[in-house]
Amino acid sequence: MKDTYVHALLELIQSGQPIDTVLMNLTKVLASRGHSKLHGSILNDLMHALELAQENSLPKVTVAKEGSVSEAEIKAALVKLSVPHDEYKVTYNPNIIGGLIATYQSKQLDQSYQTKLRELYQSIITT
Amino acid sequence: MSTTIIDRIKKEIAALDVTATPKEVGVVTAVSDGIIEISGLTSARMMEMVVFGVGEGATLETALKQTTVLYGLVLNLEEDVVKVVVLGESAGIREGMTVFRTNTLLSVPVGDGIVGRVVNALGEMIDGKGAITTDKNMPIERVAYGVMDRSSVNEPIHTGIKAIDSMIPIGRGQRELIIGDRGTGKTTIAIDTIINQKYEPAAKRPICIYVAIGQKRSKTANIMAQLEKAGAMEYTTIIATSASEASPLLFLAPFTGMAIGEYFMQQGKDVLIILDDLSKHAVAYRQMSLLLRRPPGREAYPGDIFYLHSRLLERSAKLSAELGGGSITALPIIETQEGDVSAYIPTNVISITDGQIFLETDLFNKGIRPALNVGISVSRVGSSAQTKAMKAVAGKIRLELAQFRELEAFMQFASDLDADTKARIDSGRKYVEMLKQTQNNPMPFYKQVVSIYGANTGLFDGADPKNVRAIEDAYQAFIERDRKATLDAVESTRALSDELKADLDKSIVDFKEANSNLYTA
Repeated sequence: MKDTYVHALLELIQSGQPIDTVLMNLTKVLASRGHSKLHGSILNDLMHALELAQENSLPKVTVAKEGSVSEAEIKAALVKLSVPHDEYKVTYNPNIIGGLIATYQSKQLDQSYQTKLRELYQSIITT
Repeated sequence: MSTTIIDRIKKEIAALDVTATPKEVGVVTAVSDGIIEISGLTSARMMEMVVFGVGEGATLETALKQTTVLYGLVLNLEEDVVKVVVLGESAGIREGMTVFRTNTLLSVPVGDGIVGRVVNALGEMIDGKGAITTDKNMPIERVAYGVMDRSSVNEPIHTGIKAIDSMIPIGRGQRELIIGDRGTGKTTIAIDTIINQKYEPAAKRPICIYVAIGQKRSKTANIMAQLEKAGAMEYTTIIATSASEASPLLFLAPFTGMAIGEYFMQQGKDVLIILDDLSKHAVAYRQMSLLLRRPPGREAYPGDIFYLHSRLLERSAKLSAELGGGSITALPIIETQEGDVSAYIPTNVISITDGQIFLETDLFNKGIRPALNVGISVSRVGSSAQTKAMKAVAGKIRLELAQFRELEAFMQFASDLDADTKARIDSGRKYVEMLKQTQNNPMPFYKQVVSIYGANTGLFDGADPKNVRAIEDAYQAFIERDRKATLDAVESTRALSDELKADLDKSIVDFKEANSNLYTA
């Protein structure tokens, strides 16, 4: 039930409804249905969902360390992934050794050195 | 190491010819009781396999040490999420983990090398005898062969159990249910059937597949030891899923067995598959369905529980000559509670199969083993699946036992029965004794024919019912030793000619003369 409320609120917000109106109407609906106790958890879940949507709205690029991959290479990877490449978020993970992993919503392009070396190793041991 | 060398190595790695292509991924949003909710995977298909990025974020050294891959199976496609069941332990899965599509529907690797091995529900070796050489992947879920692709069931598969082969004959391509309470000998019948196949000529010997669904590991180990001791593991594959494994693996196990069986059936070979047992299979599917929030029906089973077993068992078939003539004979096992065969799952499976073998606790406790209730056991294929030799001798036995059962009640008041009634009761008791068999002692069909023919024509006349089995054993030894040619003739011709009948009649006379001591009361 809570998920249904959160889902409906997300749709209203994404369709452009003013947030104050949406929240006021939510309070009224919960009161009329006797679901006021869910108000706090619904708002909590809504906030999580919006944060997740915001996080997923930008492509995420993981590199080994700052400067290990040029901006041109990053943009080429995002183009290969067929995603918007004007803005992106960069995170650092030294375990990938080098290269990059570009992720956007449900698509991923893994050009990290770690994956290349792992796949090379597996191809050697299975032949 | 100097920076120059490191940079040089990195340039080499960058130049490695390992093409990266965009993949579709999802992110774990919730984990509970082996059901994983994944956001993303928008193009995932039902029953598609996915891989969890368990080693994500770890160092290369750790990633290279990881030898196992954790798979999941897509079972629910919902509006915003995909629900996946984990095919293994879900302990290492965390929220935010990446999940990759494999673009393959669930399949199992198969090949001739899988015979004689013990594998799990995913077809992975668990007997420690090295990797299994496989030729191809067979889909776990497959539509059963159509009517026109099949031929009629007319070739017997011998269980080695006299009561079954004479009165409830099973044919190659048939589904015969073995049903009874716990501890009544259901698995014993199945194992004896597998062991008995060693008496078949190698060209006609079926490949046996034993699927242990949710059984104790000790029981499966015991079964494997029995089969090895009997020399039956050479042509048997065991698919073992124990009670401690995740319910999706228990759900998949019989489908894996059927997929392996279909590989051999398509080559024109005969296959015997034992599903032990489908009651546990139904419980595992119920558990999975409830966790997936599918609406519960009767006894909390999901609405498609019948379809689960019907689509599994329909894959057992006898193919037409054009398709190679191979077959899969299925012996599913169902465990009842307190002998209740009218419960939900037993009635479902009874209506799917081509007959059932009822085992009763009362008979078992009375010492009648196998504890078959011949009156209500049936094979819908019938004598079409019997050799001519067996057909010739088996007709009388059913009638005798039916009459005996009717007269059994009068035995309580046996003081004033007429001679004919007493004779029928005596004859019935001797047949019951003759049909008893010890565990792991299947009898080849030609020996069964000889024993039953003897019973029909007076071998046990004048003997005490308690001595019947001793007489039978002695007679079998006598035939094996002194009338081998007759026995071989029954085996090779699979029929009882008048000449063979005369030989057997003479042998009974000779035996009784030489073994009169067995006939003293």
